[in-house]
Amino acid sequence: MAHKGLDTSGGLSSSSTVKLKDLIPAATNNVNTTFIVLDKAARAAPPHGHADVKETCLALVADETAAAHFLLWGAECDAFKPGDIMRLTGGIFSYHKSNSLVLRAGRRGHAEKVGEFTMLFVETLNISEVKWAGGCRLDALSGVQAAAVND
Amino acid sequence: MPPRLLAGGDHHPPPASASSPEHPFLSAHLLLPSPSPSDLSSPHLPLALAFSFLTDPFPLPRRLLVLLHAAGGRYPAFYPAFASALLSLPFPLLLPHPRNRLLLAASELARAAAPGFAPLLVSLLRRLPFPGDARLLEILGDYSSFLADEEPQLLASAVFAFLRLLAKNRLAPASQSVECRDCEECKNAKNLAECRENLVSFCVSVLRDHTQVCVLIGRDLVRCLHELVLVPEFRELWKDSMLVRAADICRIGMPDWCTGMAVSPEMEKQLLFMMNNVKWGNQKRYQLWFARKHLMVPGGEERIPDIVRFICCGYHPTNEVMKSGVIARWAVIGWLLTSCNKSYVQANAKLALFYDWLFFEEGKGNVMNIEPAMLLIVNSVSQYTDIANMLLEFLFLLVENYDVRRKEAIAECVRNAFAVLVKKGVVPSLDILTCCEKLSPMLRQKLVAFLSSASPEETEKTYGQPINEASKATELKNRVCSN
Repeated sequence: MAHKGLDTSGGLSSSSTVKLKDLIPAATNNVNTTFIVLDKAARAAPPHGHADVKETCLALVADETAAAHFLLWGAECDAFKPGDIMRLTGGIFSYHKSNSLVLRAGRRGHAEKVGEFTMLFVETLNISEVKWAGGCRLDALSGVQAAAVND
Repeated sequence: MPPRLLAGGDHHPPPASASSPEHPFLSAHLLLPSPSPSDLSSPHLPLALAFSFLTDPFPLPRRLLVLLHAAGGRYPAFYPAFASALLSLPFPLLLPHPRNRLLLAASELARAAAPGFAPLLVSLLRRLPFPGDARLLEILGDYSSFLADEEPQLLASAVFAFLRLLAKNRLAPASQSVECRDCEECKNAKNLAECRENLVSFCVSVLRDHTQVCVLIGRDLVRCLHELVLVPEFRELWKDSMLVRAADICRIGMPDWCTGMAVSPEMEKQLLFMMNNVKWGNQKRYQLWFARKHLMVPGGEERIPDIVRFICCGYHPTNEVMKSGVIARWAVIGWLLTSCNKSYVQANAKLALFYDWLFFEEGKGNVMNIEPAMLLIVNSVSQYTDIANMLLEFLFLLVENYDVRRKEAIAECVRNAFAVLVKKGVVPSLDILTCCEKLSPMLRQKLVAFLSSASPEETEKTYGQPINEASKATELKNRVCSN
């Protein structure tokens, strides 16, 4: 690999960074954010007979505004452990398979460890567990509006 | 492609990224790929030379040594800049070859007594044990007489760090520098575990030849030596020269420059983050991460007493921090005590917590050193009565047995400690313990009798007087001691 020029932007692409509470599900690779890994679930092995499919592991991550589920993929499962501060560049926040709303690097995004331990977080709001309708967070709508959307 | 300084795969920032600690080194290296005497005035020289010094393959080119001392001789700011460049690297992530070279650089700076070498050596001592750490012993052994005169705090710190390593049996097992097995330099790097005898004889000789320097450590020197009394060399030393001085040494508190010696800079950073930023109720995950990284590793639990000493003597929060709702020192210590699985570690941790009580002199001792033990007892009474009972019982055990020849003096110091804690408003009065029905009745009686062994009027005056100032202790009384 040829040595590239020094990147002084800190590796972030042109779009700005976002806090977890402001994430909106979308099928675009433009999420740049930093968070701390709180916990990791057991690995999900590739389905039987699909050894070429990479293993995955669901992690609970959070920043000072909210928590979210992050899907670690392949080598990421070993690279990150609870307490690591991760920076995600060009990630996606969308429905993955069935019905689970997860943050992930995806094929075009990149996750890297930029520190550990020294970050505050909140766990009370989990953005992956919020119900969404028409691009709106149901918990953010007033009771009447939410009921209307539910109908 | 330039060589790497730090370990890290695809999921660490690459050296070319501004957020990598390697970035400034790489930038300087790209500007001065092969530093030479014509670059002496370049502002990039300290980092560029450090990069070449740490990464050039074996054998280290002589021209780099010549350049180092030429620049240091010409520009007074060069050596400190070179040393602080080395200090800026995250040591635990250094690859084996750069790590061994960093020790070589430290040795070269010490040989020249170059400005900046002492902080570099102190930082390395705080990271013990690590692969190749025997070179530190060589450096300190070679220059011990010089250091005794010129850098006594460094020599005392080294003795303290080595004694803790021996006492806790934390010597790291030999590990191969797998990533650099072709290089003679790295292959020959030794670990302190392989030269335990040299380590013992270094400590004993410095303690004998430079006793005045070692005494600078204060009472924690005695605490260390007590733990090593089963090692014949130290037993002899203790009987010959330390026993008669012990009482005087114990009157000296731990100096500021010594408080962090037995905890690594990474531990310190994480503990301070917890005690400055993490609010009550949010500490569980941080405690778990800290324990996984630092305590649940070989020799990790044995460090708890030193961590307790660091919290008591090395970190005194301001009133603003104490009022900001962050987790208090006593709660962190309570958690650490419950993390001890080995009973001797727990006993040493409790000794560490009460150590300054045993020698407390009003006007000389710092109330912040003894405050965590008091608040831990008081705040454990309601929900964790067994902890409160255990601590009081241990304190009485110490008074009775720590030094039977000086039992009365120690009892007086502990009474002083109680009195000052009341006087300074840490607790409103000792009724909080003496009238507390949850505490074991036997311990309460013992406490009342112990406190009243001083003249009765004095006792009434000192311990019974309510203090108007709202006490932290009562505010926090209902909060749980997390475990």
